[in-house]
Amino acid sequence: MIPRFQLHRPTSLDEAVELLGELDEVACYAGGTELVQVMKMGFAQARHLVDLKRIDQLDGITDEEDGTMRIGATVTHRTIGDSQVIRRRLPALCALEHQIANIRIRNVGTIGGNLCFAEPHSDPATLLLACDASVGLAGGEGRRTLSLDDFLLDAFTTAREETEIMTHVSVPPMAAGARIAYHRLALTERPTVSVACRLDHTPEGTVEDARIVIGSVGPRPIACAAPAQLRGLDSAAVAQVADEMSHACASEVEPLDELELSPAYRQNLVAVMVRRALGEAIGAAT
Amino acid sequence: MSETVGLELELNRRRIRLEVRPNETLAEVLRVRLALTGTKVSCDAQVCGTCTVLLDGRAVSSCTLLAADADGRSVTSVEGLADPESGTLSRLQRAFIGHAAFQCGYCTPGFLMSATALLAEIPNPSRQQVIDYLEGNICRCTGYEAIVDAVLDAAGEEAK
Repeated sequence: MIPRFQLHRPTSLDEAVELLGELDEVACYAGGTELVQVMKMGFAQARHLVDLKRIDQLDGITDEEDGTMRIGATVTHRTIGDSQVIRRRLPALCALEHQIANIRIRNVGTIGGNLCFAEPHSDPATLLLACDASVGLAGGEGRRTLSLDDFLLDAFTTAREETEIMTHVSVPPMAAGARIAYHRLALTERPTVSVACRLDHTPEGTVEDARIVIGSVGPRPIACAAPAQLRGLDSAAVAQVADEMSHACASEVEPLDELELSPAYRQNLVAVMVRRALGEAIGAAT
Repeated sequence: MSETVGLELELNRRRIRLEVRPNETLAEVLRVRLALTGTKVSCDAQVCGTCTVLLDGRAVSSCTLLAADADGRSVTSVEGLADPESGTLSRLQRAFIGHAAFQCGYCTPGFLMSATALLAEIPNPSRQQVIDYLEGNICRCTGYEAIVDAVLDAAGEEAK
């Protein structure tokens, strides 16, 4: 049984921000797949819950003129997975969203809730970090935008103030030569290891910029430094160094000891997933 | 702000109004307040799928959905699958019987609800699509084969 709380259902962002400023022991929720679960288990308490689902400004996916995608914070995983706009701009995100947890979580859980909860095994956080996403926050002091990198601080910890509400996630346009791959191994509902790889290519087909982000093994997703060495290589050359690169990335992470899997085993899984993601990214480019 | 929330929803094709406390889950309201005990709770963590009901036609875990979130929406539980007039079981329910797609039966309402959502979405699914869609429902008795067979059988009937 969930401890008692009062429910508030604002219909505008201003009203919601005001409620957060006024009330003590208050938490926002949308799908509730994270918050209601931990409240039920006694890991979180709130005397007031603010339901964000009735606020239109937090909903919807828009494709802006410069190619930026704006995904409202209360958009569900299901809606993102099915979105034609996102399928055009960033198909890897649609594919990822279709893999999250199970159909019931995807039908209810939201992108904003996922990122604000900052569970270390978040699928979207890993890919969105590789895509230089940012998040919008609204609070009593006004609005601000933070890169996802600055937003995600630690396990279950973000830069969001308690009186702020996440309004949306912004994904900048990917370069014409960008090849993006996301690979995960999931032994339970959440991934054990997840890897996002983004290779931007020059028109000549060499790597202009390379990102490899490892999720699910540390307190938050980690952008590896080693992929900078891939710059200037063509796909054949990347294929040649893929094995070496996968071990270099794996050596940059310090897996948490959890899920009864030893850190060494998970480090090995990281190398396998990096190799697969890199393989897909160069395969798609050729 | 009052201690209770007034809900108006469509439950198994009937409009109902009720007052709930904000901290009640949909599963608690169905089972305790409304005595609709067909919906079972098992893991209580949105993993096993046993408590699946449909919210506006989509599968959700009623164990973790606040009942208040069903306000203004349509909810279908396993009690709503049979024809309300004649009591005739749905095609899918009959296919489950035909294939003996259950043993202890505890997970069955959840499988029926997930598969009902699947067939509404993909009327003629491939075997792999059925397996993928039902991935989040756990059965510890059958080994799943008979369940997948039953769903495909019901889909075939539907397509005829």
